[in-house]
Amino acid sequence: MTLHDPEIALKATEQPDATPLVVIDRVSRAYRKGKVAVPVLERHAMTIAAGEMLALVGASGCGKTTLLNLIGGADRPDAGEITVGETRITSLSDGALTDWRGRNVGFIFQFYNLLPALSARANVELPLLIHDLRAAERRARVDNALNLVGLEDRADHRPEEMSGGQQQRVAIARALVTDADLLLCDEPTGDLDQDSATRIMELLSLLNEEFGKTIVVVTHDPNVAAYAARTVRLTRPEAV
Amino acid sequence: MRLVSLILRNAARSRARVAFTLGSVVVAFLLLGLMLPVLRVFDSRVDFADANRLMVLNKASMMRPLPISYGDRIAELDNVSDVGHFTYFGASYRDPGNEIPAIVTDPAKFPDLVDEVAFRDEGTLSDWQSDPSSIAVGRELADEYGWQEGDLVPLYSSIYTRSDGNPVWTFRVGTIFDGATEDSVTNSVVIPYGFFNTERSRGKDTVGWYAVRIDDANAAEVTGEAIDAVFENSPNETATTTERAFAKSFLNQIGDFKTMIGAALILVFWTLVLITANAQMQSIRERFGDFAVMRILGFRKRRIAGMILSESLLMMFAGGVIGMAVAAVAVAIVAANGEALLALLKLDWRDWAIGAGLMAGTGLVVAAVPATLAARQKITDGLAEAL
Repeated sequence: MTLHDPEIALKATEQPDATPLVVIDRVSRAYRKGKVAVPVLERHAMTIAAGEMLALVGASGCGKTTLLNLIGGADRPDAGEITVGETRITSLSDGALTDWRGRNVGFIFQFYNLLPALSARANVELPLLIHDLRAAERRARVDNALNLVGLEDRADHRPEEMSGGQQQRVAIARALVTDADLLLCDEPTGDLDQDSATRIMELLSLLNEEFGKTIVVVTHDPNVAAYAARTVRLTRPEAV
Repeated sequence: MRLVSLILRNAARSRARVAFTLGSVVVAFLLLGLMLPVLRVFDSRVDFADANRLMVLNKASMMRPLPISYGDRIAELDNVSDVGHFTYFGASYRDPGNEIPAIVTDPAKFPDLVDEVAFRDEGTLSDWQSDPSSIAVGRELADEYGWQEGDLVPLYSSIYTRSDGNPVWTFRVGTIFDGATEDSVTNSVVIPYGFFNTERSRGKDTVGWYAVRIDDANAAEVTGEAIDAVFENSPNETATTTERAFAKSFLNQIGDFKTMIGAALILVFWTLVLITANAQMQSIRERFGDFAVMRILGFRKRRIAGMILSESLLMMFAGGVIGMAVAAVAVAIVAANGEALLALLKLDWRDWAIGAGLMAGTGLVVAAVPATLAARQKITDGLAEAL
């Protein structure tokens, strides 16, 4: 089932299966601070099942966001391999990795990262501009995504004209519009009040349960982590 | 939304800055559009000067005359095919401040010696050549004052009075001549030497300068030296040069005007371009976070760089075309109301081509660094900047 199925609201729930979607094999990543290498991930290994909703928790600097970026192909590991579906993304060229990311991954950030000059509709449409789609098809997809997050009546508003919760829902619509299987959420409720945070997490749960999206959520908040079927706690490696 | 729309919306993110940046570009290209025709007119004056024509001037000063007898002696020299003479009349019409170019010469030789003019009416040409008190008038001047063949025209001379002391000379319009090319100037009056020489109160049997037609332009220097050698140690020594060299030296004498205009143009233009570049780079730098988001959404580096280049080119062409269009209107107004060289001013296709080249070049230069930086930055760094 896809988001762009016209009978989307009538479809039955798809249950997550145990097939691994993401395989992280002894991945290491360190950052340099002057001459000192600061390891963030050290031979980290884990698997994320297709259709799973996973929470990554841990202290600040333990590598949650780094791991999320590595899974999504926004960063490259110093060592190790990452496979998503059938694709070993660590072996892809820069251009191929960009194309893969555009087709297969939806990103949701703490501060929404919407383009301020664009309306909600244009922000959601943005990832589709690089796909070979007709304008009518793009419009239908954007309408679907905005309907799903309940923002069809705010489509022509710019980010500055919307609340934080609404902006985050636009960001979720943008992540959904390409029908990516994998949604990577970095502190998606970190900038929101409790009510807005609850609505966002219920929306993500819906996407996981109803549409089988594989969702990885980085969070400090136990209440947010509670929405996930599984929680992985990361610890910070020793500095070298 | 299309990519073009995305570029436009991104470019217009800060409307005040876009307005000021666009304004700078408009002013830069307005200046360019105003100056290029002026520079070309300077060049054209030099280009029109004939390499096959020598000018023989009084060595002491170009304002001092030469004897009329020199003409026959010059004509006897090798490589000389024809000799004519000219004298500046210093004419004005209606009031002394309204000066018009007027020269005195031999009507029989004038049509052959001066290629820049064309006499289309053989009947009136011979009328002018046979009537010593008639003048030939350029088409622009005739049109300006409504003169026609047969009209009597009083001209005031600031240099020569008639034998009775009267500075006003009345001539009959014998013929009207046109320009040989579209760029030729036809705003002058040509007065027959015979009548003028008989009637003037002083300076009889002298001329202002000689124009010498030569067969071989490559031997111009040798011929010039030969002419000057003939009159060496005489009371009126000569200084001979090609018309082209004279035109250049004349322009140099008024302070190398072209170079000064060109230097000022380049300095002001590039100052404005640097201001624009700074504003553009700042604008792009502020959007590195947005570009990182676009990268993470699947936009390739090349596409990001292309968008930045397109935005910069759009800014340059929008401002540049507006600036040069305003300049074209201004130049046309000046040319319509101006006289002499000003009447030649025109923003033509060559100026537009230079302008378009500078718009494209500047747009690319301005965008090159930020486009490269935006494309090369790591997504994670860009996202960190967006916070």
